[in-house]
Amino acid sequence: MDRTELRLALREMVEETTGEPCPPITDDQDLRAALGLDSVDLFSLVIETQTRFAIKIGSTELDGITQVGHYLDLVEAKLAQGGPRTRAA
Amino acid sequence: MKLRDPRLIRIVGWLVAVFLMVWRLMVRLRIEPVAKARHLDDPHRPRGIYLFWHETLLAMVALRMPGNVMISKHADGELIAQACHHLGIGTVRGSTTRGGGLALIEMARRAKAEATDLAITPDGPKGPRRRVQAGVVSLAGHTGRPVVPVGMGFTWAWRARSWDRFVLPLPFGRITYLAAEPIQVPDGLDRDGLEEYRLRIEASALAVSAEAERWAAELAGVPRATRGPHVRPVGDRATSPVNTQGREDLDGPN
Repeated sequence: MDRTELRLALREMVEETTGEPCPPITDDQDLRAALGLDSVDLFSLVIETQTRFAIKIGSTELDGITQVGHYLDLVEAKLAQGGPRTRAA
Repeated sequence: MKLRDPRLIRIVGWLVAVFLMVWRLMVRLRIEPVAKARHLDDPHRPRGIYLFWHETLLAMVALRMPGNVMISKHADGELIAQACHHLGIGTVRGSTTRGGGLALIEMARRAKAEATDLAITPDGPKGPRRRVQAGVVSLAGHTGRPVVPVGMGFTWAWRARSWDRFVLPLPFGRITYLAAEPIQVPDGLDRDGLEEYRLRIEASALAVSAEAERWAAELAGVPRATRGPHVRPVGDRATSPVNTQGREDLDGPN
């Protein structure tokens, strides 16, 4: 899964989480403010990411992650560790 | 005055823990479940997410339930977290205003990794008072843990003039604990579903709090000489918002 696909998947998950259309996202956007995520949405997004990609994300790993790009970097690193596993949509 | 120095906070946290242990010997706990709930001090009860209002944080700590409690990342929270550490209570730092998402993730991880209870003050750390925030609903849905609102009443206590009217139960007073029926939250709820369950949980928490406060008021009003071990008059069960059937009185250690 390349970066563009990953970004698209994130956009889908944000839309599922918030229930609202999400405009195209870029790596330099603020993960919470730009995507309109509150703390519960962020929790849901991480849970959904873990389920969709069969990865585990620890709360400490999210410390300091403020931008979309940082989050995608983390997911990419996790996928690289465990192999690209995605849940059937 | 706010404590900022980490070393000072650690020392004061230890002093607070010692104070709580001594204070705990001077208050009497009365604990009751409702029909489908089980005693808070029953080690075999199903593990749940226990809800306490922020104002009753001290009384919650007095229970010393083995588990993990979410404490805010504010400086005041650090003091409580230090005290919990000395009392053997696990803490997860965060709230709905600071680090809430990360704290929920950590609580979910511990729910899976540890067979312990979770405890949350759903209106902390800044209120509005006695209003449940949506985080606990989402956490319950994801973990499959039932939410158990716990109401507390006090026969003799001091209340601060803070937003939550924080309670300091005074020595030789009694604290009444009443656990509501567990509420199971389905996973994968949309925003409307989350709000529906949030309101349901909030209504249950308010009802059980009112019931526990009535119980404490009754205890405070009944002369000690005439009070037996099972004298709690149960209210109108048909109209009470809290199911009080199957209650029994238990006194915690003095």
